[in-house]
Amino acid sequence: MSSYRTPELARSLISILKALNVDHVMLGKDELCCGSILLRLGLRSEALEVAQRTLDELARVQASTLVTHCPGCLRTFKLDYPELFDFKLSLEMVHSTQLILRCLDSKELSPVKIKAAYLDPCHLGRHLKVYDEPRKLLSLIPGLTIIEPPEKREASLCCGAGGGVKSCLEELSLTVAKELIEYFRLLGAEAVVTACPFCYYNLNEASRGALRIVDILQVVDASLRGVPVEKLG
Amino acid sequence: MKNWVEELRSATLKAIADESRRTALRRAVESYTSNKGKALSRLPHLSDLALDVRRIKETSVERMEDLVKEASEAIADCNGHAHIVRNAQEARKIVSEIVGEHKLVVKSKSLTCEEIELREYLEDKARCRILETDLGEFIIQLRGEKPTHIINPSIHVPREEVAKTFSRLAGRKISGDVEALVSFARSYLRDYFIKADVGISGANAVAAQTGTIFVVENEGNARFSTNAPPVHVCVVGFEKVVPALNHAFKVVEVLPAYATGVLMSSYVSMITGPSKTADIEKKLVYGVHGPKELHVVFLDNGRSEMAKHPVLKEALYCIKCGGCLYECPVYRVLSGTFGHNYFGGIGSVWTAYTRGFEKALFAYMCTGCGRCRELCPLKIDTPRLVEALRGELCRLGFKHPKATLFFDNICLQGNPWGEPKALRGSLGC
Ligand code: SF4
Repeated sequence: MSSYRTPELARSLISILKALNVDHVMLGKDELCCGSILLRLGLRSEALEVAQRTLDELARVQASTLVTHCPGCLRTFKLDYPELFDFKLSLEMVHSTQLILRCLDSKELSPVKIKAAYLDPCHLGRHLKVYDEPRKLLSLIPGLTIIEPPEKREASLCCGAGGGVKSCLEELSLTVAKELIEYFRLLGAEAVVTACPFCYYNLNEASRGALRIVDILQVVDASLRGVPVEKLG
Repeated sequence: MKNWVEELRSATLKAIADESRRTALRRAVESYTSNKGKALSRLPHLSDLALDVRRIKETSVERMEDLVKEASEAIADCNGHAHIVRNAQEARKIVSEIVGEHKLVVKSKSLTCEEIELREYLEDKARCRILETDLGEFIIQLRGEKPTHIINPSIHVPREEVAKTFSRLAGRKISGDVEALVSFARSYLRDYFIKADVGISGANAVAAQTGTIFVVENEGNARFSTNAPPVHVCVVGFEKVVPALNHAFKVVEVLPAYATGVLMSSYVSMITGPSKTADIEKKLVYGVHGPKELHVVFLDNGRSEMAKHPVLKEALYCIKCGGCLYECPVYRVLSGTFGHNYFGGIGSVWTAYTRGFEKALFAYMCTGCGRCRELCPLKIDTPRLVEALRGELCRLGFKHPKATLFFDNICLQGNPWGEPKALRGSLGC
């Protein structure tokens, strides 16, 4: 998702990993879709085929940790494939926010002055139960004010892009996203921070400037580099 | 004829464009969530009790057929009539035989009756007059519409529209004030309860050991319909049967807070056999103030099949509180378009087994966000069910064309959109 639809997020992740001196490799052009979309739409055996190829790729690069920013990919590797196909990946699998938090040490962080609401992405929160690390990470950024909406964590609202709906029923996705944006606007948020390329992409498309939508990677990248989010390029 | 993919899309577009429906939904969701929040904070034990109910359901579903037999025998023992039917057609036929032709019937809300389209059948084939007595059902019956929520069937109709509908029926102007609307319904329906030949209801639970049926409600219409007419027919799905009274009580304790945000429903009717007395010389006579005849129709209609599916059987545990619908971001936009008699993700599984898989294609509307699972009292894993159902749909030829396209693209270019492979490598590292 990030490589094609939200390259700015992929760039931010790489820039952060470099700033934090994380030894990393990208699968690059050999990288394959995780197959999540196939699973969600009911194509199990096809997903298995794709998964097998990705596993081979991962074995080839001999990494100790698999990091993804897309919570959907992470869920697919970490929960779905082991459950459905009895796959056991020997490497550790983490979300970008978990890795960043671990490697941040005492890096100097510049202020990012936004009053934003954090949206728990469905795959990251409810499905993977990662609620705290993104919040912890955001709390370290000076100048950032985070609003906690009443419907948060287990009860957080959905951006409308999941389950293949973005692809199969685009208008439905956008309408769900618009309702969510209105909800955040009424809370008095100036922006929404999410931690998922699908939320980021869909909310941006639906918002059309009604509310600023940023990703946590952009906030961290901006803070590490000391530039405003909109200047990240 | 449009293909199903286009049909799904045009239904979605139509629902999205309906502003009045969204207004009504927003009002309903707001009041539901605030009431439920208050109720749950005053009943902190309910979440644990609900998990108990889940365990009861799990074991009951395993021996559904036996429990239905046990319940039937217990009902017969207290002079009621039990009928075990396999499909919708058999159910309609038997109810129609019991009711007879040209009868006046008062009916309380029942998803199971809706599932077998009982009202339409009795109206068309037996030329009966059927009055829906639940206020929401009454409204949509008058409007010639279909229910859009399992607990609150007229959730999509704002008060202004209800006033128009009632004014037409009354032949005079009824104000849009909610109290005035309720009072009109009360006075209109009152006589019919007394005059009716038959009362039809569903049930929320059945205790097999004693043959007791439990009917939970707030309005008092179900109590009236099951009590005033001389004959009561109850149509209930196999999955509602639990072993004994104490299990049924647990179901009934959990249901109200999640269904309507109350601590307890106004009325729980427990019915064990027809009305009876032995006050005169100890001679047993049936039908004193309540019905003389009680018929309980146990409906399979796909439930045994569902129970055989390793994943989808979980849907049978659902107590039909409707909470997950109010909480569903997609339902909040689509309401009754997100389903067919049964709504939302959980409803797609129910629709597949009770009406046919080809009717369950609204499963593709679910975003799999999982909010329903967290907020469901029984923690039913609806996203998992929806994915498994989509798997079945694919096998039956209802593979979404996008899915096929994505797979082909992934094989060719490594990504679902078919973008050139090289792009991925171009980000630099
Ligand atoms: S799935 Fe759960 S929340 Fe939804 S209607 Fe059934 S019991 Fe209620």
